[in-house]
Amino acid sequence: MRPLRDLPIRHKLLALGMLGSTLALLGAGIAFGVYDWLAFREGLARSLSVQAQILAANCQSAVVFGDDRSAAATLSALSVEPGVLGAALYTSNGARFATFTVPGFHELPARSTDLPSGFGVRFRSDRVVVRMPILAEDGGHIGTLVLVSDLEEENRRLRRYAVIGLLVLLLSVGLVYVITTRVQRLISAPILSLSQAASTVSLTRDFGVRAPPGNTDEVGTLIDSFNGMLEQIQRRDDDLRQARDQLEQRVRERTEQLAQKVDELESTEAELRRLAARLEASNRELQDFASVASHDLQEPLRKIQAFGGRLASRLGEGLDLESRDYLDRMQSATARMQTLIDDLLALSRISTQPREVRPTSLAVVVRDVLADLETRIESSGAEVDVGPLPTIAADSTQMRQLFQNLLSNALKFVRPGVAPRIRISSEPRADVEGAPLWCVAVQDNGIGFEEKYLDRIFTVFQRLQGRAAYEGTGIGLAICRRIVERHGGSITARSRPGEGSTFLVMLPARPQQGGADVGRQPEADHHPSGR
Amino acid sequence: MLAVSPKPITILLADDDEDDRRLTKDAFAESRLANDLRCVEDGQQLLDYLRREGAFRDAAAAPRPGLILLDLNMPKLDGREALQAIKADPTLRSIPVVVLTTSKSEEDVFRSYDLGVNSFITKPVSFEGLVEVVRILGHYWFEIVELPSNR
Amino acid sequence: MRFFRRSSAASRILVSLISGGIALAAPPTDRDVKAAFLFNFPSYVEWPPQAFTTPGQPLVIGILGDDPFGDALDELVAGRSVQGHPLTVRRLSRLSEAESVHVVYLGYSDPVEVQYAAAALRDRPVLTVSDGERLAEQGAMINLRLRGQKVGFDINLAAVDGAGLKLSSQLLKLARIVRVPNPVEGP
Repeated sequence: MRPLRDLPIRHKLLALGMLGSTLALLGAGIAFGVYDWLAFREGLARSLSVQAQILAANCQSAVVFGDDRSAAATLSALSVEPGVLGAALYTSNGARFATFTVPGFHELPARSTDLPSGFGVRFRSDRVVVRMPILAEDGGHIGTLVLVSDLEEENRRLRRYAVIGLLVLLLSVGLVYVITTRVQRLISAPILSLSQAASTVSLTRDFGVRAPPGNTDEVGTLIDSFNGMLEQIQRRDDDLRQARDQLEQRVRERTEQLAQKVDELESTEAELRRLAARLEASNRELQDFASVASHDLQEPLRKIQAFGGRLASRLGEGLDLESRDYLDRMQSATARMQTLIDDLLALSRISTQPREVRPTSLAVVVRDVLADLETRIESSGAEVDVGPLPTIAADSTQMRQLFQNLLSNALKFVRPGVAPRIRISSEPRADVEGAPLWCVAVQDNGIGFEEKYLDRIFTVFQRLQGRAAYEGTGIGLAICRRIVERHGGSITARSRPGEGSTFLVMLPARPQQGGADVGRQPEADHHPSGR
Repeated sequence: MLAVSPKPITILLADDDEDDRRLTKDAFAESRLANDLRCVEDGQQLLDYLRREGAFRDAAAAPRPGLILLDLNMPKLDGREALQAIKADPTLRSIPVVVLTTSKSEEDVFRSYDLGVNSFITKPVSFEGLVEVVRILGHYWFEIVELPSNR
Repeated sequence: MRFFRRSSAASRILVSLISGGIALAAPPTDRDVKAAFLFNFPSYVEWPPQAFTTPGQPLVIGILGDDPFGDALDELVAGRSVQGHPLTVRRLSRLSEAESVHVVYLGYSDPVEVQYAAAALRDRPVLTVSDGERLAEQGAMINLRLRGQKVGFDINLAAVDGAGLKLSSQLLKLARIVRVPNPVEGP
């Protein structure tokens, strides 16, 4: 069955037509044939019956009067009848009375009792046997006539029928073939053209192809739908292409824009780098200048110090009090100048020196600073309480400076007669953007200050206390502020005169660039939000 | 105190600053070091002295020092270059050099040692400090340390 | 002249007798055969209308002269009808009685008596049946001929026609037709 399924439509249709017609013809032919055959038989039976009846009537008197010769003579009239094989008369007791046969035919029954009684027509394979009862005038059964005829006629007829039938069948089939071949085109042609169009489209991807329109039947509808679909596809294709072109256009434009931006960025970056380099250079220059300047500035001061000292030691006792006083004031002024220059240098260095940001344990820093200040702590009888301090990413040197200054101040600005108590603590905070922040508090019980002077204390050289009371250049807190700000934090203080002060240092756990920062950052410090 | 060497060793001081020279001399006096302190004003003079050239052709005027105190920042030929020259000169190499300078620069320190200086001292700011340093110098270099004998 | 073999004729008549409802154990005798023929003849005869005045009128078979039948004919005839007329047998004593029957068996062996009787009944619609040699030529309409094994009958058509009777061709074809040149004039 598979080959049948895969036949082209033309052949299928043809096969369909032929099969249908052939079967129909065959069926009709057979039906008619059978009918004809049956009718023929019926006719034959009837005619034979009639003959038998006539014969029987004619033989009746012979049977009655026992005239077998007359009977035989009557039967012999059958010789003119083609197809009759034989006939026989039987008396009512079954005995054969008279016969007629064609030469060679010996199959008449010997007794009529061998046969069923009464009238009957029986068709055998090659003959037909008619039984006709012979009746007396009053209807009594006095004998039987048996007539046997061959079926030559029938066979001939059948043969003829078969031949004719076959011929007709062949002719019809031929005719059907011819007609179907033409007519199937009605169906197959549009299908074929559709199929062709479809495969063309599929091969060439040309959606402009259309199938030629068909009839208004279902195939026609199919073709129309197919064309419609192609139309849609074509349109969509065009739309897509258009969109794609537009997209490409836009992408190009955007890419150009981006390229421009990138160029701009690159040039900005280069610019920045240049600036950074210049800044660095400038910083270095500055630093160099600062060191050199401080060095050069320090040199005459040293001389003054030295020779002043020589003078003091040489003259020593010989000087009067006032002269001695003058000399002392000179020396102390010189010393102050030296400190000032050192402090200024330190201050400038905070901003100009490269930062080395590393995880720095503030606890360690404070410990070291306290170790440095040990003598002063001891001598002042100070009590220092250090709470847990965080480790932050910072420049450890500057942290040291920071805490050195703060603790030094705490040890300096003590209340007379009150042993200094210093408390260092820390607390985690978060800044406005939610980045982690530490607040380190350095609290003392010293002299305190009025908070309205808060800004001044962090300013360079601004002092709240006279030089006579407390030594120092007034630069310590400025340094602290600069260090803290450099780390992206802030510093403030709370105080009340006579009740001590608390200095609050806010330091981010991770540094953010603040100010002119040309620092290098060690690898460990890289983080995505680094600015 | 160990045995005093037969002849006091000449110490050659190279410093461009007259005041510093004066102070150092005074410091030596204060610390009662008996050494013969000679001075030169710059690197060139220093080399001239050591090589007995230029103004110091007379050997008697330029006794070979047993120790050189060298200031780094000097005009003409500065201390660093002079140091380099001294340490490159096989005849002068063996003289111990102590840098005595105002500079605290780490780089100066490193470079000096790298060049073969024997010690690096930053000048104290006060006279007293200077006296102390000189005294310790004397103690160290003349009493503790063996100096190569002059050739 | 056609003659049936007597035995076969006898057997056939036996058949007839059987169909007639009578079975004979012994082979049929002459008497039986004659009776059978006489019984069957009326079936093949057409009487003119005046022979039967009423539809159910019996058809009488008369016997004149010698009666060879005994009971045979009576037995055959009992309860049978021909063409709707019940058959009866009457023994006649006088010729004049024969005028009112339909079939008369002339039991005379003398041809003169047969001739006389035939002539007397010449115009009457009565089927005369004789039994002897060449008696049809004497004017009897049907003459039974038994000779040895054979049975047959002769028919005198002229006599039949003269009586106004018609005989079936079926009967005629079985018989020998006898022609008598000059009809015999009777008194």
